[in-house]
Amino acid sequence: MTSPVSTDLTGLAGLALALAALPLAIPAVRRLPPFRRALLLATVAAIVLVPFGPLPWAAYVRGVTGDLSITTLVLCGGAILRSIAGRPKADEPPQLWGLTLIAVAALALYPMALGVGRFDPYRLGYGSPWFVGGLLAVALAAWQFRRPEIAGSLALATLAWTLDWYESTNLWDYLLDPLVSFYALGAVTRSGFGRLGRAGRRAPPAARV
Amino acid sequence: MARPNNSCGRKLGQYVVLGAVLAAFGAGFRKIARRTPAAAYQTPGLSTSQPSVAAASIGSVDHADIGLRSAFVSHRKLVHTHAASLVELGDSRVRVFWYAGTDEGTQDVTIQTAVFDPRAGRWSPERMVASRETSQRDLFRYVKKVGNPVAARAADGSLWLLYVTVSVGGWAGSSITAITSRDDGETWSQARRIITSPFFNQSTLVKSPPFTLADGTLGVPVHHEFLGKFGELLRLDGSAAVLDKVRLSSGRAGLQPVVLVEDAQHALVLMRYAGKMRPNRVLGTATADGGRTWSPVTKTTLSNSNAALTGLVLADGRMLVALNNSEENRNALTLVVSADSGSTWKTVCTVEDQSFVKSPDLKDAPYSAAIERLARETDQGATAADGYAESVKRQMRSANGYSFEFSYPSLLRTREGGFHLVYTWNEAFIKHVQFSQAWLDQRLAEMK
Repeated sequence: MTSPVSTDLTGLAGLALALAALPLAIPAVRRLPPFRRALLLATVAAIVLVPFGPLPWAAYVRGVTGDLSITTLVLCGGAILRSIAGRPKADEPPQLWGLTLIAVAALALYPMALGVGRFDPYRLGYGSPWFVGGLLAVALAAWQFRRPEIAGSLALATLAWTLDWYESTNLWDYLLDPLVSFYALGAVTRSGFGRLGRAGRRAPPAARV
Repeated sequence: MARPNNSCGRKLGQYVVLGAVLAAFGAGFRKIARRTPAAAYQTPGLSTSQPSVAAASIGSVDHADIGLRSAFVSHRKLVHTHAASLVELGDSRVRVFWYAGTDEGTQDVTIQTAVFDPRAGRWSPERMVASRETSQRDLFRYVKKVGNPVAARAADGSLWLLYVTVSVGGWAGSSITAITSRDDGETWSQARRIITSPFFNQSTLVKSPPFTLADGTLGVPVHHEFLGKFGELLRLDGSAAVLDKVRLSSGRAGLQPVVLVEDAQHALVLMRYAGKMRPNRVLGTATADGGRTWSPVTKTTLSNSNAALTGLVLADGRMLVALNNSEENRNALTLVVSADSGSTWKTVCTVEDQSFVKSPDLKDAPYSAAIERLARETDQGATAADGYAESVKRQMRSANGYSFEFSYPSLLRTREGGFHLVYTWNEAFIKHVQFSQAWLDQRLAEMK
């Protein structure tokens, strides 16, 4: 087997982290004692890095998904840490501000990057000072409004891009990937419908006409 | 007593986050300040241009008389063979890359190469350069198939080969992979993935020759064909890292852009037309500011049957293009020239022409005879026993009968002034046509 370069290692490690977080979606896993849960997640992370045929399991996933964004890793890592700390809940309130930000960014990026119109926002990720300046403004605003998880995620993604953590030289790939985008869009939509439903149930009879 | 401590801890944590934000973005701005600035185009020189021409038809093309010589580059029988790309080597030999396998997109498709020695007038035996196995081993990810090799000479003298790999789906799922060679293609580096799209890095394909920019970075024309079909221009540094990407068109009609650089500021891009609105014409867009902005895409006067084309700029500034100059078929391959930056075009030579043959007329035996005759015109030593007809019939049989296809041309002009054209010959072989500057000058003079 060819020796992996550093970006292969970081890419596969990121996938291992995300795949290790997947079992947390299973209720039976969430009911396990924290130590056994941590042991299970560590085992999954190790197994996906074991070669199956010519490649590790994670490399087959990587063929489809590519490298996962830092945002995805922060979410998965956060879920694992909370799990190990003993606070995994199925109905954990979503980090709606952060997910809304991801959903908005995804809607701004993907349609145009895939060909809607002549403007390509993905190009900004190759080092536009305006783009990085805008992200800094968002990070500072998040910090000001007591959303350190958003500010920290943006800082981590920018730092990873600066360090060429992955193969990509585009900052967007450190901020977003389609998986976290779909997740955020789904969560925000679900939350929006939930609020509408609650508002409808609270409305006075006259308003329901 | 715990409350003040917690509050103090929270505040400390907040300022740690603020410090991290400022440090990370400071590093980001430092990276931006150090990035390679935009570079002008390089006026076409002999070392970087990629020209060519060719000819032969079912009836009678006397290559000796018109200064054309032809040969088959590939010799494997009963395989699908496609998408050749030329590059000149340091010792004036010519190397060509293509892909071949049981069928287009099958897992046994490999990137092949062979070398032409102009002094001996012979092609070397072909050998494999890359496969899905070598690619996935190098890239540490699953690869289902490979295709579309494109060769380039980098500013540092190394030979680059870009090709597409697909992990999921069809060609729309392509990503670009790069390998480099410091010994003109004898040995190759570990493959590197080039990231060009935010959506699982899907759907960026190469076909046309890259070109060197004034600062030594590489301009790589590519196209996207997932939801839209549009051309783009990548700029790569010496390590194949993407520095920038410019969109050349939008919508669902433009594929496989070919960049014809006229000078530091001016270039014309021609694109395969994949749209549904007739007339079917090659698409064109131009820049007058070194690629910073591109004109709206328009249809040129060149016909196009949703087929690849290629071209180069001659030393006198004229543009030479090889294409299937038809709105319907790929059964004729033509060389055209423009002396007015692509506004008008004149035919220099019809390299292949089977446009007068209608598919329903082609029965098994006459088709075999036609293929064998064409093979002999290409290679005088070819015989029926060589299996050319069987190989072609395997590829070109359809519900409507048999047909001809001469497609995906690649042109090269060597430092010594010779021209080479290679193209897919009935999806079964790669054919090479060589011609001289004198022949081209004669043809251009006859056109006046």
